[in-house]
Amino acid sequence: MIVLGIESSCDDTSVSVLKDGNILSVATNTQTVHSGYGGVIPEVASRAHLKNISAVLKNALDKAAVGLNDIDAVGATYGPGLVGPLLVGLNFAKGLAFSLSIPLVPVNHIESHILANFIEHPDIEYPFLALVVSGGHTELVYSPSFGKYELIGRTRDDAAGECIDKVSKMLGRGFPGGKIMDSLASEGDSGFTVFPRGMKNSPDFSFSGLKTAVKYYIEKNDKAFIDQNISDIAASFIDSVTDSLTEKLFSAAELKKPATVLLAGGVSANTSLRKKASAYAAKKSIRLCYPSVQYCTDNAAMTAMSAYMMIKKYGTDRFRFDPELDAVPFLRIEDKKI
Amino acid sequence: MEKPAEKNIFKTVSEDDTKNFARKFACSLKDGDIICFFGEVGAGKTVFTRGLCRGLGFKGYVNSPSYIIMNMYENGGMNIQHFDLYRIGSSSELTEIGFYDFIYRKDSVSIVEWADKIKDCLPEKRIDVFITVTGENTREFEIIRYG
Repeated sequence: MIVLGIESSCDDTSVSVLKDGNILSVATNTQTVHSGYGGVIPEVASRAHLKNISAVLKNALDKAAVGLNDIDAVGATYGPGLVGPLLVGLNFAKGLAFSLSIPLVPVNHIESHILANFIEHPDIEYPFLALVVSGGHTELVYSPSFGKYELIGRTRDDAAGECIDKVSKMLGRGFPGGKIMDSLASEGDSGFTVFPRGMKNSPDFSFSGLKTAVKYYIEKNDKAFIDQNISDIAASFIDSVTDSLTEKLFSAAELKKPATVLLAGGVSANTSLRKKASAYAAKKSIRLCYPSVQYCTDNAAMTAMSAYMMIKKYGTDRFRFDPELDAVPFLRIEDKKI
Repeated sequence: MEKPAEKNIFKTVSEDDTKNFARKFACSLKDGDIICFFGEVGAGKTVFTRGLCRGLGFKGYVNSPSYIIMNMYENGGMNIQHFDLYRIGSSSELTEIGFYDFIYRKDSVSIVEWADKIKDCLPEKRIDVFITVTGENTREFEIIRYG
């Protein structure tokens, strides 16, 4: 079975071709980043999705050496995300499904980040505990069986990736800050200074206070000092972020006793997070999985994989073309349609 | 021409004090009101916004919409639209993201974080909230009501 995945929930337009659970190709068009003001311009993003999507599709099909008529089903992200970009991808998918008379599987973006783990680890055992961390998400989710999710904790304010991006910008190191902060941190001493850990003893996360603490730290010290010790400051900051993340992950693991612990989303590429989670998993003899970096950030391989797994579980009849299918920008992991 | 503005200044001494002040401030709001926040990172926009939502009767989940630009809170007392323009580059992008389709809704209270990003094209009838950091925990709120 050949499944086409389409993901356009935020800044990237991505299309992927999957055959019987194996990824044949992924084509992604990443928006130009305007580091001048520290963000991706949503207007450009929305228009660019529209401009890019046909070319990205062609690229993915060519790379996989597959024609449009070979596709058996389409999976597309229908939420959560930015409404404009979501509509571009979803309506494109609806057009394809209608014209090819094939099923269309609506995919939840957060769930697809979690299921990205199955691309490289198809034998993951339930129940699992998943930490989804990215620019827009910080969610700790327990899954007793396929498609069932219980939200354990989430951020009360900023997402972990958002906090890292904003701090990177404050330190004058550019946007997005994930990779930059990670490589600075890996050269630094995390004991250089101590930044606060938010929401101790709660399943929920908080990163707004940490962001403010770094801001005051930057203001209190002169620029030369900050620049001179940038790696140590980055390491201390990242240590606080990953301590907060793992503290809640580990407490939930003690309580829920999952068979597997999963990391997912862009921040799951972070070296310090992976190191701390690995050490814990080894100590407790729990299996830990995380996707390779290419499947951590937004990509359509995870969308195709999710659609494939849903078809395998529920059959194609459940996903007959539905012209009423609409984007849901505020979709939550608990709000499953199927 | 804009009507003469009504201006008030309030001071808070702690995070809890800010939350309580936001709850009280919420009582003065009605559907269709647009509240625009001005203030640096760490000024307390998040704390104030959460207090405001609680004061408006919403008990659910309030988080930062920096990445998805907008949140809606609808299953509480009043409907609330929560915008965060941190990632917006200039006011010309607002049309594209559907900002004007939402902001003038008469059945909701709108909260706009990072209103500085669109200074030149804010709705005429609005409430500006300027937050100044006066100490580690103390804040000054200047509230200006237009129209």
